[in-house]
Amino acid sequence: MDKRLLIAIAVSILAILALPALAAGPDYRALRDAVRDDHIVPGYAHFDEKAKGLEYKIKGHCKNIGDAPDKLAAQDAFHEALDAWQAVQHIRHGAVAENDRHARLQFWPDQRGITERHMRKLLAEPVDATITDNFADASVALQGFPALERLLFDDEPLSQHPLDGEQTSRCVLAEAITHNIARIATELRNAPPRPGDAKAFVTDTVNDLVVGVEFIQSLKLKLPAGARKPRPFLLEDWRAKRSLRNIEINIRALRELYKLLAADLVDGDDKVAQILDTFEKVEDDIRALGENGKLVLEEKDGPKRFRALAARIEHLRDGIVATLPKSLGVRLGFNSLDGD
Amino acid sequence: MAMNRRTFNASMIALGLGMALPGGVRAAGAKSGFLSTGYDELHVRHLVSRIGPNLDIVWDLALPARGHGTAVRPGTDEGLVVARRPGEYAISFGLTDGEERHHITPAPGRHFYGHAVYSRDGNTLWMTENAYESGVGVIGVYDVAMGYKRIAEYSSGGIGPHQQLLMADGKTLAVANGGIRTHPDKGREKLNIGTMRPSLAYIDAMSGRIADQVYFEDLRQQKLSIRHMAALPDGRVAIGCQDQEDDGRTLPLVYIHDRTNNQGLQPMEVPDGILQRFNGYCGSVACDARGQMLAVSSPRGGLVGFWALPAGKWEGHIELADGCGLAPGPEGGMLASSGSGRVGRWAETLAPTETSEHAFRRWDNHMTSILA
Repeated sequence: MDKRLLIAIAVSILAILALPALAAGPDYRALRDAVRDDHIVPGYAHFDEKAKGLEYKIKGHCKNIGDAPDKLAAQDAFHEALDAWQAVQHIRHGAVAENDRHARLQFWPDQRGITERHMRKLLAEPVDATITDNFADASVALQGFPALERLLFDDEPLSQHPLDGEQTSRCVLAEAITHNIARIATELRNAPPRPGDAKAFVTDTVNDLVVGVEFIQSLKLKLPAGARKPRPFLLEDWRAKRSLRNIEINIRALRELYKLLAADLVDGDDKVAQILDTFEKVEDDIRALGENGKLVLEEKDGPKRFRALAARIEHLRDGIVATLPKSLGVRLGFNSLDGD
Repeated sequence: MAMNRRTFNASMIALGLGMALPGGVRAAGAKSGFLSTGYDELHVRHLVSRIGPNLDIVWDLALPARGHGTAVRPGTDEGLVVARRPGEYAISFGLTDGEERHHITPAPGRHFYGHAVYSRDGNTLWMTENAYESGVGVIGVYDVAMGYKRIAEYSSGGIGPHQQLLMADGKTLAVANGGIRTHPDKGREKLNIGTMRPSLAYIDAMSGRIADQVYFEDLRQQKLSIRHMAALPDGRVAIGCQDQEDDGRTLPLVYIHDRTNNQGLQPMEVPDGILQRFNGYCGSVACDARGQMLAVSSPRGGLVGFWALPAGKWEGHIELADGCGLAPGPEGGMLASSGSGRVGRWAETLAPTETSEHAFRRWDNHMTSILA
């Protein structure tokens, strides 16, 4: 065979062998599709189903006020729907960023009791029969889980008739809220795939992961732990006795998201495995504390335990920030990504 | 959708994430502090905010989409925010209460480009706009007293006008024609990089007559999109550019133009290593209240560069990750903000005199001094 031909063949083979190395950069489309198909879409679909269930059970409870099993069923449905929302709460880009959907589903933190104030005001006045249809125009603080939690778990029970000193029945409000939650859940489920560049999608997802982890340590743990004394009423969903249950779900969902994003990373020193392992340990620690964060925080060493947990999660966040954006070739930033 | 924005404002103040109570803020005076656009990671909303003189958040107003530039209407308690391009809204609001007043939508076939400026008497507003079917840049003229009625438009002198300034005479607009054509159907895609020709145009604000216009002469320099600028007290204009060519060359990005001579756009001196770090991108340009220093931010480089005025000598830089917003402090010095929620004041010596961190807040591209 001609020597030049041999060289040409050898060069071609080398070039083919070298191809995977050249293409070794992250496949943003594949990453986007994985996040969308294995995380966002099933997460919203599950939430939509549970939100519909909640609407149905609240209706049932309001039809049979005084029936204890119906009340329990409504509370169970609340927990299931909130579980499903907490598993997607960290997603902050795409359809949930439009029309204030995120804030309308769960207006929290609410340090000054805005929800409470608006609820008192609404119950004190007679409402229009179209409240359910027009509820999207109500205060964002009234539209989601925090307002419903007050109605289902506070001292005053749900009622078909206005209570003394009130002109709107709590059932009317509860039904408007659950209908609204279910409608937003359906909008999220049916939203068309976010258009545009796959790398931008991955960048926003990495940002959501980091913000999600920060959100837990800073607002769900450190804020209620307090600087000087504990502030249990700043816990998320303390009325439903499930602040830590929320965090456990959040951590599990964030771990799944991290796993998807880090799936193809070539990692010499096992950073990815370490981070996944830390996620699991943090989840175990939270589970060991139980579901009710208020009980823990009211113990003597409660604030200390909250702060220790927050410190571990902060460490976890630092580990992710130091490795994941670089490995994926994205940068976290707001203005640096803008171009305007 | 009619959201209850007051609820949202109150709750943000209530959050206490590096914010002071409203009582303390009011004591600081009605006309002080800064306006900035931003993004709230907590409630997943775009905002315009007033930042107090002690760098706390006085109020937030939720926006329908990402905002960009802000402006203060002289002699009144009114401010304005313009949507980020391709902008579909401009909203005026009370400076004291942060409540929305007028919602302005673009004329048919136009969208906003992100910046606006008021006349000295506060009765006229000019906005940079895109007549997107023809691709021609225009200045929309609005009668403020008539509820921001659009009363006229004229050519901006080029494609893609972005920031504009009202010069000291109160009659001349300086307009940065970025040179890049976009169309809302194509989002933010750049459609004419091969033929772009940015310019700095001086326009008679009342008649729309282009009094003067300056271009880069060098073909390579014509890939520098002129986007942001600041008026210097001596009548010169400083501009900051964004390089659209990715050929590995680092061109100066900051220039000064003096209408009283024929020297065109004169590059500002920058040390080589710093110029590299600017990464072909300037975010904001500002001159301090005493006219002693010029500042230009580069969020991609994570720094703000400073030059001493009037000579234009390089003074040095500060490190500010994702930093972009700049505004002159009322008593000298420079305010800078960042996408990680930081806002700080730097003295003429580039020493930080005061900084504040706002958790879960991303300060967007630009800040405006309320008492500028």
